[in-house]
Amino acid sequence: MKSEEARFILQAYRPNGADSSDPFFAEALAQADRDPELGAWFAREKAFDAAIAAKLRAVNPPLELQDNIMAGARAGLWHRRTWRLPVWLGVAAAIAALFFTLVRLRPAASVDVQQLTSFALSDATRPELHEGIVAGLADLETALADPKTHLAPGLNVTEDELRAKGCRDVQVAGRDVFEICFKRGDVFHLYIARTGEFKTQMGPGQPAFQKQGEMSSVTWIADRHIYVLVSDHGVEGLGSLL
Amino acid sequence: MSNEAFARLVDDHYAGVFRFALSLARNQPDACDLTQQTFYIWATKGHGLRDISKAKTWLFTTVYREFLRMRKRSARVTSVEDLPLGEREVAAEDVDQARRLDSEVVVQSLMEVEETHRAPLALFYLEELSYLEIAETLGVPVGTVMSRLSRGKAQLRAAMAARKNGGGIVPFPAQKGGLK
Repeated sequence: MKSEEARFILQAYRPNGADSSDPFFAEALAQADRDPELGAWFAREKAFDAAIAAKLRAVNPPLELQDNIMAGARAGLWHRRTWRLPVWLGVAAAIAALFFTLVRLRPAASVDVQQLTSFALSDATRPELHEGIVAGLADLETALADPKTHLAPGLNVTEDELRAKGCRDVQVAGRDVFEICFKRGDVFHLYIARTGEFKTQMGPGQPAFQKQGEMSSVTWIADRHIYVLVSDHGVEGLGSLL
Repeated sequence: MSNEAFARLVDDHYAGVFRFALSLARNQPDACDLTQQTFYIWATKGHGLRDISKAKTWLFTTVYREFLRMRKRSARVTSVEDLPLGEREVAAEDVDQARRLDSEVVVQSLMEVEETHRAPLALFYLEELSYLEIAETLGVPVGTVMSRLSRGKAQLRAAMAARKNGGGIVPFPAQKGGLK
């Protein structure tokens, strides 16, 4: 075996020694024992790998992740169990599902827009949710950051365009809501939903302001969308962006 | 699988799944989404796995598949420029540098490795999977794993060297509460 071939094989040797009994590495390991130069290289490679592995394993998940997994999976387990019910219950479940589907297809939106605003006010206080790099939104974020841009007329973009650009997409009461972060001095969060998805008495040109703790929001309707703009900049600050 | 067994499975593997997801997605929110989605899929489908000793490989295979699906769906992951290959072999100063650098810097350097090389590298370093397990997880031949590990390590060393010299290829957002 050539030295280069041995190196190629040994670079897949795990630094914790778990591969010591794997015959795949046997010949290359034996060669590293015989060849001082190869042996020195292998010692450096193992030391490098061990150092990198230790550094990377120091990364800890967010504290709430384990609880979130359990909560999400409990819902999954419940759904799975429902499919194990007797046939007659299965039929009943199918009828119920059809009923709920028909209800859902009714045109009237039953979820109040306040639910969207409340979600936005809460969501904007969690910075860990707003750190993703979204290269496709750079143009839009630049335009939003421009003091000359007024938001009252809306952004004139479709859901498909936002989705294609990689915009963050969340569900509020089962409705698609998009969110864009931008900076104009302070950080602002703009939430966008379709008007038909949420029930509201608001008309175009009637923004509704709200304050919750340190966060403020303004909700308005434009170009067939409901917009909720949130920041800790105060109500007056939000109004100046419209 | 009982709730207790599932809780144990989560406890044993969620940190590793998250780290692998973070290495793929390169941002914490997406990594959390991927991790949750993976265990959700286990809760709904994973019980069909007959050999529980394969659970770890199943979880990592699933998180990788979900990442590919997420990327295809949203094109949210930032593209990475090709790095200079830096095919030079590991030097003594590389080892010293790896020991001295903060975890965050090493993580950021890993994020700069091309995705095709980053995935096997993350499994190798983070979970210490064997070349066979990596091949199974990623669904690629063993020879491909070997090549990707080799090139991935070279890219990682190049990225670390660039950071040492004050450079960097792709900015990575600072993690909050995640990195030590």
